[in-house]
Amino acid sequence: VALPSTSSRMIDVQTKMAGRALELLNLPEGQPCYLLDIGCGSGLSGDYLSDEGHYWVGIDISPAMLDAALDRDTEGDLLLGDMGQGIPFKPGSFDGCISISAVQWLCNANKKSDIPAKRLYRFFSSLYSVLARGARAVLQLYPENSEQLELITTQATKAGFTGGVVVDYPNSAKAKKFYLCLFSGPSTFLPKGLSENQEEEEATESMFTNKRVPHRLAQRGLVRKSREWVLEKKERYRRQGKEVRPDTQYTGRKRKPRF
Amino acid sequence: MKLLTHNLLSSHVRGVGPRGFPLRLQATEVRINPVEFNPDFVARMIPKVEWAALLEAADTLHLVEVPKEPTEGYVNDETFLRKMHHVLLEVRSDPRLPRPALEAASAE
Repeated sequence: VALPSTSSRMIDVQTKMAGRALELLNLPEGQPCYLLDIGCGSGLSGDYLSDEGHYWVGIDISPAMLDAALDRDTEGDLLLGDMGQGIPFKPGSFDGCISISAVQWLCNANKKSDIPAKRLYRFFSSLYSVLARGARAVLQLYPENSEQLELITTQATKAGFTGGVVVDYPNSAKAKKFYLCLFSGPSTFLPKGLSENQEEEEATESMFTNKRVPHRLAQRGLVRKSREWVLEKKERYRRQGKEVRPDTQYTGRKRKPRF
Repeated sequence: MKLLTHNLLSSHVRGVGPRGFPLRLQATEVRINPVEFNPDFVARMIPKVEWAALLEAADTLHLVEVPKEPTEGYVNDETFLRKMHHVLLEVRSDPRLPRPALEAASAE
């Protein structure tokens, strides 16, 4: 089986992303920390954490990948489990969390009865709990589309996180990377995404906070059944993680009178 | 796994816990893995340790020289911190993987 760890290019990419995630984690200088690696796989990202002097616990759903990690004799502790079921640690256990290329899998339901929004929420709320107060989580992921990214960020917000998405190299199809940066304490400054041209003014990050626009306020000024009202309702349903048809020029169009 | 990690897992060694999984340590599978001593890190972890579970685990693994509780002013007590460093970070139990989350999920 050609696992990612056997391709040297993949090793390089994984290690680079682990490095960037650790950078975004912004841990205190020179202080070993106890970290969580979600979707640790064969331990490539974990090895980077060890090299930087940290202790880590990795969770992965694949026995084959974890066996490979055991063969590589990683420093970190390895747990077999499904992140969508929660993180089985006591509150405040970890100084931080990283994840490389794993969190988008929560959007695929394993069993028909698993709604992605529920799995995401269970993951994020449990992650929030096992992080020490003020700790961060940096999750590199490959969102399928903007709807999926919004679904993920909505559930993270519901679980109590603040933060935002940092996008590196937004103009490069190959190099573009998304890092979901989550803070479990009060809102702090979100780092700037990397870009080819360092003079670019274009904002590549989006911040989100716990502040939701209250339902009444969002509805104010909207005439019931108008196109704007329909669009706002669809947006609200998307935030809840429900499946919503895309908005088109026909959305909320006047229909033929039925009577 | 390190005893620190074992201790911080949310269910403990008393047979099947509320989450539905046993996490019994095997006395036969213990390695000592030398790790660089960092007193600040150990001191920071001490408040998180559940001592009853730690002592039970240490007992199962036949470890000696395990402090029964934090000493007064342990932050500056190098002897205590070195012992805890050894117990929490250098003793590694059973290389086979425990399966807490999956077993808990199927038990639910």
